[in-house]
Amino acid sequence: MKHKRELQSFWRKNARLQLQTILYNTNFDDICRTVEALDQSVALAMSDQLVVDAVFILGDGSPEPVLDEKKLEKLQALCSVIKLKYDYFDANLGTAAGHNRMGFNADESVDFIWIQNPDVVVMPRLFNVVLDSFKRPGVGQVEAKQLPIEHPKDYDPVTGETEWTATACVMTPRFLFDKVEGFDANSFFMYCDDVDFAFRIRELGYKTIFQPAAVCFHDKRLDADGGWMPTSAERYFSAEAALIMAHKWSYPELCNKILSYFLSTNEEHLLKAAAAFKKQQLSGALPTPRDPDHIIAKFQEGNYAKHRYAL
Amino acid sequence: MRNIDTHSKPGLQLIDSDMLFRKSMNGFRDVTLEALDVLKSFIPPAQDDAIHIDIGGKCRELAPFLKKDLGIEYAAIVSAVEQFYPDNKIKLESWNGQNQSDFLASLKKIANGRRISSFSILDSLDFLYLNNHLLKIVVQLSKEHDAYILLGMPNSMCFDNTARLMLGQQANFQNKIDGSSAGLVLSVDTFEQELSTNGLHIVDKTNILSKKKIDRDSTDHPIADGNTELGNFFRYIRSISDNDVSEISYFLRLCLAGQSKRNIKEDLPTPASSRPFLSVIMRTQGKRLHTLCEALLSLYAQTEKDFEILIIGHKLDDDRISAVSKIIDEQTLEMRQKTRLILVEKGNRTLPLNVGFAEAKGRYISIFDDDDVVFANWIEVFKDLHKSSPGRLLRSLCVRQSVRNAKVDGQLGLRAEDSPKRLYADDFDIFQHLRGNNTPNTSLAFPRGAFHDLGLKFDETLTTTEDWDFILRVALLLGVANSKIVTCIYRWWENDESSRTEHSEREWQKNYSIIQDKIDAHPILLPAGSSKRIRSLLDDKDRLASFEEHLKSASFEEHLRKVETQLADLEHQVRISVSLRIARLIPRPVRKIIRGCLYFMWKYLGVKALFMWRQRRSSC
Repeated sequence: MKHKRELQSFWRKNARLQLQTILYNTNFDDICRTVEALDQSVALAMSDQLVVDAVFILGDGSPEPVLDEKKLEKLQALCSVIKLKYDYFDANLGTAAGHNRMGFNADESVDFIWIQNPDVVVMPRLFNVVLDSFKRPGVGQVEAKQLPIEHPKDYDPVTGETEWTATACVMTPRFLFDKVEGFDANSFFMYCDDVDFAFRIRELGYKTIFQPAAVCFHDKRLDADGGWMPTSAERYFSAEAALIMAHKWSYPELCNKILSYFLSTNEEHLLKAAAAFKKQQLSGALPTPRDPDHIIAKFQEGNYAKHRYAL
Repeated sequence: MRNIDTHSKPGLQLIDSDMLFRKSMNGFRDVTLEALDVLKSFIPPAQDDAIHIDIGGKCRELAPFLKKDLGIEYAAIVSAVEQFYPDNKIKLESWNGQNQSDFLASLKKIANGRRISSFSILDSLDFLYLNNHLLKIVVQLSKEHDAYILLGMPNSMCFDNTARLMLGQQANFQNKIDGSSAGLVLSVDTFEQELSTNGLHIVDKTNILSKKKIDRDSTDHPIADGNTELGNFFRYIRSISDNDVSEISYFLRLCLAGQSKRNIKEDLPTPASSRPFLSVIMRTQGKRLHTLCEALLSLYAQTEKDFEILIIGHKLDDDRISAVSKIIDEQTLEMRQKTRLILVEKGNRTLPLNVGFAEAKGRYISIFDDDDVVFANWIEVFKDLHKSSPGRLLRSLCVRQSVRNAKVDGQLGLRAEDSPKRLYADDFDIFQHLRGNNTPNTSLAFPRGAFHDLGLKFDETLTTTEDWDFILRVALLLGVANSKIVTCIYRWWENDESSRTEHSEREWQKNYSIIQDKIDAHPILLPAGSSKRIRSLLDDKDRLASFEEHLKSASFEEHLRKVETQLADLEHQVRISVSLRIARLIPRPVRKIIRGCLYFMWKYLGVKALFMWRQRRSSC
């Protein structure tokens, strides 16, 4: 009840945005396209006086810097409204720690933080649509829809309410980012850090919204049978994260079941994920379980939310 | 345009490729007669002293008729090298050489201060074509005198000629008027383009039809003879084009002089290397702006950037025009530069495709409707296919996904309702496509030549399945290059208006029958290996018939026994499958113990004992 009293609308005219992404050996042409699309989208939001200022932080966790001064100048030349900043991490921090580094260092005046993958391009009116959803009190996050493969997690077709949001393309009020102390970088390297982040925002009573009218293109492909083609990193880190999620969000039986399954297979990435979890377990590094009554985290059929269809 | 069939005119003499114009006045019923008809229908009888100048002097027989019917004097100007036909009724001016001032002086001398009502240039275009400055003088004089210019050219591209040329044989390029060998062989399109380039605006087109049926005694040529399959097939290829001139013997064009329509350089065909690789034709009715945004975004994300977008707005009202224009204006600079909005105000859903294909500059052309979406490698895969199989119809894989609209916070979006489904065949099978379409539009790229060179067009009489009809006709002629990479999603509307719901089942069936009939109306070209396929299909049919026969003759008990045996086999297979599945559920350590026991039995009790144990088990 306490939470409900505190709920507010984060919408404001002439908002200040921080846009952030993490590069990892990203192709320069792809970065150009991402920057160009973001700039166009911010420019349209500015023309409607929704946004007054936007800075785009390009974090880089690559072994060697992806951008040099010349390339950065070239990128800045593509922009009519947004300011670019380059932050070379000099280490592969993963998505959780990487976004925390940029988010916690955001300028005091920043109202919203937009997080996206480096291979995502946004539609021209993206920010107009996303910011509009913040007019509703209690909206804590707004996620854009990904093309060409839409995420199958369920959402209310009228309110847009959903269980969690993906940081492939999501807007979070700066206030909430600070309030939940960003991503849980101690528990997650990449994958499921966003699920956990969204759950913690919902713990505060805020709603996470999926807005199908806000669209991003995320370059994903299907195999010849129309099935999902996960990368090897996706397979390993999502396996590792699955154990931690089950543990952190108070599903001990599920956690054990997953662990047993991983140990019973011959698949290297699963065995490796199980070993990493056991190591954390033994060293006491696992996070403290929360939400014992499963009010927030409702795992269903191996997913972190109800899915509309299998992918 | 008028196509004059000389067969149908009572009292007119037939004209065919072997017949020369120069006949006695009694037989004067051909090109000159048509030329006279054309002139008479545009030029009023002269009230003053007017003259018609015949450049090249090929229609001297017009002289008495022009005088009698229109009150116009006839005069001709011919080159000095031409044979001179003295005729006291006709003033012939001989002109020597190619000198511009001589030519103008000769024309002025003929006119002698009189008004020039018209010029005729029949069969002499090559002479003027090669001396472009001389044609300019005629155009200039025509402007000064408001004179019509009647131009005529024999059809070098008649069926007989092109059939022979295809086989590398000598064609019969003759001037129809005097039978001399034609110096310049022009297609009618080039002919008209040349007129336009020289500032000649066509006000009347008359095509004179040749004899329709080839005289069996006059030719043994296997193609020119329309009775052979090859001849029929070739005739079909020629007939595809809207501008089929294979049966025309002579073209007459009446023009007025004006400004040159285009720069000559613009008329030159664009080299393939300077064309975009792909033209994307996107039909929109402006009803689903949210899906149009998605479609454009997926194009912006393409890894291969060598493309243009033609958004064909079909029957858009003012509000929708501005809404679609706004979406285009809001795109990035790169996208705006690639995109053209073309408005089509009439026709059914097929017309926008023909308009789009006609406007397309790309080497390949794809249809991408405004409610579908493509993967980032859509164009890249087409380009790879083109590299390995240039000129064919390019095909990749498409999945289907059900969608419906969702409105969150008053903003209309699209919501996927199920998994992307693989419903379309991996490979393009022409035999399957003869029965129905198994390839969504978006997964195809059509070579531009199919439309622009062969003249294949979407059938505007079809209200549905126009794509299947077009795909089939292109695939049968050009073949298909296939990729097994998924590159696009065909959106299937669950509860909203689409072409599927807009048309009745009866309408779909009617269009289906029309397409089948069209394909059966002429010979088709099947790819290599088709005879094997047909044999196999016929073998299957025979086997099925034999099995059916056997079913009829065999006794019921025999069948029952067979079925029982098959069931027993199946049960055995299921038991093994279940055993294996159960085995997987047994924890690994227990499985190891069982394995050890079996190994012990085999090693120390012998294989026979193990076999007996298994037999005992199965007999239980």
